[in-house]
Amino acid sequence: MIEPPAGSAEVEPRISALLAERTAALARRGTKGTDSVSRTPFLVCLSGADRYGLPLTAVAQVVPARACTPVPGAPPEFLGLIALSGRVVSVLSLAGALGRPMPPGAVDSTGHILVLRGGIASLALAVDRVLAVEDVDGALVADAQHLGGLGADAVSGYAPGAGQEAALEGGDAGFVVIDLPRLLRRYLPQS
Amino acid sequence: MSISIGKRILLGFVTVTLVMVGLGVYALGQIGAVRDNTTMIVTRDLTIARKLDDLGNKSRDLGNLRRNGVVAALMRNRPDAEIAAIIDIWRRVASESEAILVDIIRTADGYSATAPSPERAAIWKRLGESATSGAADFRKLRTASDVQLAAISAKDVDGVEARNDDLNRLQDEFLRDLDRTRDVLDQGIDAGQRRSTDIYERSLLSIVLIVGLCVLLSMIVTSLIRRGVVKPLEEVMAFAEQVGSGDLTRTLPRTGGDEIGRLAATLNAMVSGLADLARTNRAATADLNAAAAEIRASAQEQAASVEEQFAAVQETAATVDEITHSGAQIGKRASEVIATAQSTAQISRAGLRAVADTAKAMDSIREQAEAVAGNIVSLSEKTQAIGEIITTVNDISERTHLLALNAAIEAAAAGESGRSFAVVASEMKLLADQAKAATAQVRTILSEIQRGINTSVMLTEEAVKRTGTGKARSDTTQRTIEEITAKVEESVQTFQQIVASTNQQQLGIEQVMGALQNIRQASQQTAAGTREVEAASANLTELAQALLTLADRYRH
Repeated sequence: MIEPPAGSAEVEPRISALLAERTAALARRGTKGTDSVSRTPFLVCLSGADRYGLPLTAVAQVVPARACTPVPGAPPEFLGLIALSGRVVSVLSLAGALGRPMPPGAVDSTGHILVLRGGIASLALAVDRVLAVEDVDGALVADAQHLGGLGADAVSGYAPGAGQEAALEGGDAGFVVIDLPRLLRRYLPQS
Repeated sequence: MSISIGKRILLGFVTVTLVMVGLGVYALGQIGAVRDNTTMIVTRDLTIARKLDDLGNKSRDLGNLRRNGVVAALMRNRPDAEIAAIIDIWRRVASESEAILVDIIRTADGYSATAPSPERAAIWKRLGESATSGAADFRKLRTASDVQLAAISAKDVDGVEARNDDLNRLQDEFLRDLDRTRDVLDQGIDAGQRRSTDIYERSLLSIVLIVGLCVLLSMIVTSLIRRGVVKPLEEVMAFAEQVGSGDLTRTLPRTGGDEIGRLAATLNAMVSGLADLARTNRAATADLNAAAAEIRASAQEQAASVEEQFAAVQETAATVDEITHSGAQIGKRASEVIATAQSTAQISRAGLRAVADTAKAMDSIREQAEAVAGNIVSLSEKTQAIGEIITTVNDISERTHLLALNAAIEAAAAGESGRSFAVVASEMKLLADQAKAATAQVRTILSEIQRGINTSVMLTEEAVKRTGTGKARSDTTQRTIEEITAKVEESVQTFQQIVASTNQQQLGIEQVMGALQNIRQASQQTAAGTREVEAASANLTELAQALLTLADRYRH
């Protein structure tokens, strides 16, 4: 959207290069979107140094992080409760739930909270940052199973990243696909 | 004997003087005795002679009176009163004559008792006897006269005449008695004269004897003095003659307490001193001989060194000449240096002004740098405002990001109908991400700007500090240049003094040249003098030899 002012001779080359790259990215996206046949949208978020993908349909809302009310006797990955639109929502640390080392000092103001859709109880996952929505080939996701490792039972696959996302975020293009029901099985009451 | 010679001489003279004084006193006594004797004899003889004369006169008066009475009686016409007067006078004179006779007798008796010689006493006794017989005759005469006078008063002429012859006989008898008495007196006078002559002769004899005694005593005293004084003196003189002949080995043996003893001790000390002196003299003469030889050698050496001195004076004159030339050059160079130093002083004054300008410029630079620092600070504040704006934009982009994500979620939930909305949401998110990236870049640039500002602030502060340092240094430079100027001016004065000193030095060197000329002449004179000294030292050596020969005369 940023257009250089007409007739301005002093447009920096860096900005020109930026605009040119963006134009190229937009052009590539158009062709890719038309070519995909069976794609599943994922919400890619960042927790620690890892990128995780959650099914977009499972997410109800993304809100900025806020102060959680801790619950006594809860496991450490259970950060606490927040009030959201008149509901009480339990907040889990995604990294803690996956058995990864949690960032120190709970959820800071820069982090995001993903409010999950449906389910028996209102649940939210605290991540460092929600990056983007990505459409990934479903077959690719399904292939990646049981990769092993600590808490790997909740990982349903691995999706290699698309080029433009990697370019925008400056990190790994790929992300780990989280199997939410399997992840949350320990924290939800057994029906 | 230990009485000193002076006392001995004094004793001798005192003795002689006492004898002479005694002699004088004795002679005076004898003269007085002679005089007393003569006086006594003359007085007594004259007294008696005068009384005898009185008596003779009285008796003649008596005869005359009686004759007058007889004449008066014979003339008969004479008054009685006159006769009575004559008779009265006669009686009174007769009484007086008798009194005189008695007096003569008594005086002669007294003189006889106190006469200095028995001869005179006998004379006086005979004179008294003669006077006594005279008195008896006078009494007879007086009685006979009384009878005649009674006849005269009675005018008995016969009676008067009858008694006249008897009376004349009696009177002649009395007068004979008187003459006899006078003869006795003349004998007494002769006896007195003999007595005086006798006394005189005795005195003469005794005085002559005493004078001879004095002469003898004086001769004894003189011989004593001679024996006590002259003989030892002759010994001493012999000793002195030996000493004079050069024999200093002997000593005088006498050690008495008198003058000769002291003279001997003094002479012994003198001779020992002379012996020491002679030894010393001999040694000194030997030394003198050696010294004369040394003087001669020294004079020869001196002659050689005078030659060297002469050569050295020549060299010194050449050197002083060079010094004169170099002094002139020094003066010229110093004048040049003065000119240079004066121009240096002017240049340093210009440098001083330049440094003052520099200091002013430094101050203005510092003020401008401070102004720049202020501007930079305000720029930094504005940058901070920009940072806040950027924060706001970042927040907005963040919110837009979330909003886009939620919109995508909502679109996914809406299914097929939300697909186009999903595109919009994706686009929105893309914009938000780009805005965020841009803000990140702006933030990066802002932090760079901030760092640059900080660096500029530091640099500006550094510049202010450096201008301060530069100011201080320029002040130091100013002071240094002032000092340099002062020093240069001092140098100018110093060099002027150097020039003056060099001129004085030139004058002094001219005087030195004159002095060197004098030294040259003096060294020539010294050479001549040295030759004379050499000759004189040869003479001195000869003299020392002669002195040695002389000194050998004294045995010691």
